[in-house]
Amino acid sequence: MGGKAALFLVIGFSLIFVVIGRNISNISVRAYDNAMKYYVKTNAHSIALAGANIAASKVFFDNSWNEGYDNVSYNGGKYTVDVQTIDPVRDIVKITSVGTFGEGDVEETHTVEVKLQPSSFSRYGYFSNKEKIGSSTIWWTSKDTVWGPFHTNDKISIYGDPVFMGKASSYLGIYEYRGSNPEFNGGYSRSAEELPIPDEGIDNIGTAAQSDGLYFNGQDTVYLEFRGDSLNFKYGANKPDTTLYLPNATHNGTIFANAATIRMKGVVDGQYTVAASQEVVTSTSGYWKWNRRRRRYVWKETTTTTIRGGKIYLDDDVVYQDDPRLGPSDDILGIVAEQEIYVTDNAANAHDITIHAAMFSQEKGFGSENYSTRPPSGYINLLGGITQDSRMAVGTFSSSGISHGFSKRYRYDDRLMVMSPPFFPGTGNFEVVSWYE
Amino acid sequence: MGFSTLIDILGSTIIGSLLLLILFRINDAAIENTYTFSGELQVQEGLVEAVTIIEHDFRKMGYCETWENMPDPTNSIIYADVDRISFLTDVPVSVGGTGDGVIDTLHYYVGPTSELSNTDNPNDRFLYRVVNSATPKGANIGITLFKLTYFDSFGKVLPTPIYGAATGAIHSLQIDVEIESVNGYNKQYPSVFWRQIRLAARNLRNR
Repeated sequence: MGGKAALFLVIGFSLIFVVIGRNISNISVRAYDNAMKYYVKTNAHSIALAGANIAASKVFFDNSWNEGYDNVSYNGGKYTVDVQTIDPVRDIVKITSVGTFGEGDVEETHTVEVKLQPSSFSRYGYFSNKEKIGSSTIWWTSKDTVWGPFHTNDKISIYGDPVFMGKASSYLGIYEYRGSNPEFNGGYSRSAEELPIPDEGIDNIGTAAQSDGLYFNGQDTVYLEFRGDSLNFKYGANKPDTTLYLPNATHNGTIFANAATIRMKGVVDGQYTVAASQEVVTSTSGYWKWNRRRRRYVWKETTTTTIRGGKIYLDDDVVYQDDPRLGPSDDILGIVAEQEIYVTDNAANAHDITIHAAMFSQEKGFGSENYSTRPPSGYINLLGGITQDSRMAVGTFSSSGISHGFSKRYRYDDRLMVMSPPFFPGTGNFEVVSWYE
Repeated sequence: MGFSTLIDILGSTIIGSLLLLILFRINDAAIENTYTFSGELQVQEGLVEAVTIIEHDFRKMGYCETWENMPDPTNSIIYADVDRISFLTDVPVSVGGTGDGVIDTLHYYVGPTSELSNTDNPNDRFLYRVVNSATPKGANIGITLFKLTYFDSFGKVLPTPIYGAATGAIHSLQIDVEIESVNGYNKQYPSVFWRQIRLAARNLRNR
């Protein structure tokens, strides 16, 4: 009897241990599966990311590249990349990268989608090629607050505690004066790629204006006054105005003055880019000079090069009909000059000027006419951005305040992150506008 | 029945009892192991699920299906603290979707341990994932640690809390998650720890 009980006991416990053992083994397998699942997922994700990065790099270097990749082996898995232009008008490119890792039941796929668009200089709140006036370095000081994306191909020189509200980058790094503590609220990239200002930025606008815009040629100065959806123009201060209905006058939004100076003001309703190109004029002159050695007069010839046009003067406020800060607005203006963009020294600008525009000076910068001699003129209220070759002055200051010219109140127009004035000069690169992973 | 028989019976009873005790002990150990391994499996599965969701959501900071609706992704993080973060993103309305093009606010935070005083583990707490102003609903997967560390583009740790324009300085995050089993055998709670050393949400650096 006792022997049977012992036998049952042993069999019973053996069964229990078999069940428990199987259970523990099962748990171990599931734990392994679980870890494996995460590992496989992570790898599929990394492979998809790699495919997207490789394709994005290809597109950056060759904007027309759209071949994609098909089942490329990478890190134990595979990626397939598809490149499509999803918006031909705005040239928006979508990269879809599918990464696969594992086999059979443990195979995982992951998709990364990246959207890119051509990058325009209008997206910068501040951009400069050089951070110098002549040989003098311009310092960003505690008084400076920069809104919107910031980039310079030069070095950022910091003295004090300036604040950079948007993403900031520089090609030649940063120099911080002892004790300085700049605030980079949008992050800072110290060794960003150099972004040269293209030589053909203005020419492209000229070509667009000739084909389907408003093109002025053969004039020294063109006066433009925006009056909502119409434009008054004339070729001299005392000449009569001609009025154009803008949607008919320029279908693509470009207004271009070839080898001329533009003087502009007014209220803008719509999306336009005003541009002035320069012409390099070479003239030769000479005079007779007595040559003592040869004992006779010889003809001395000199060649002078002058630049004609290419400047834009802001004679008065240039503002949007609908201020985007107060409500919805689709008004946007680009002011593009091959030379300087000046705030005119006149009565209209004696007390403040308001500018709503993205400005671009290809070879010079944005400044105020006679900045060191004109009387204190209040504020430059800018809503937009400045892209320029070199920084220029708008006024002079002393310890008691402004001595001549203007103080600055610059704010970035956030819409410039996603929209651009028509044919505004591009950087030649694509930029990532959306990244889904 | 003689003395020797009595000794036999006593001896076999003692040996049988010892064997039985050993069996009980083995049984107990087997049960403890089953309990512990099950708990470990649970926390591991919970961790993978939690981490998959956290990584997916955090990588989508500043993302919007209609990207024009998110003009400046740099400032997508609204509030950032050690155990709490709120940011702008696009939460899909359908399973497997990438988003509906409408910007949402996503909040992640952990509740107090007192909310889960009914569980065996005294340290577990709810991890809340709240979309916009929805009623907070927590899942008890045994979170005992949810810690966020923020770095700027120079790799310096940013002091918390971070809010307003200063959130734009956040370049990457370190995420620490620890999960313990909600019930333990003899108050021993299996735990797993996971750390994402540097998670950089790509959209924060767009444009």
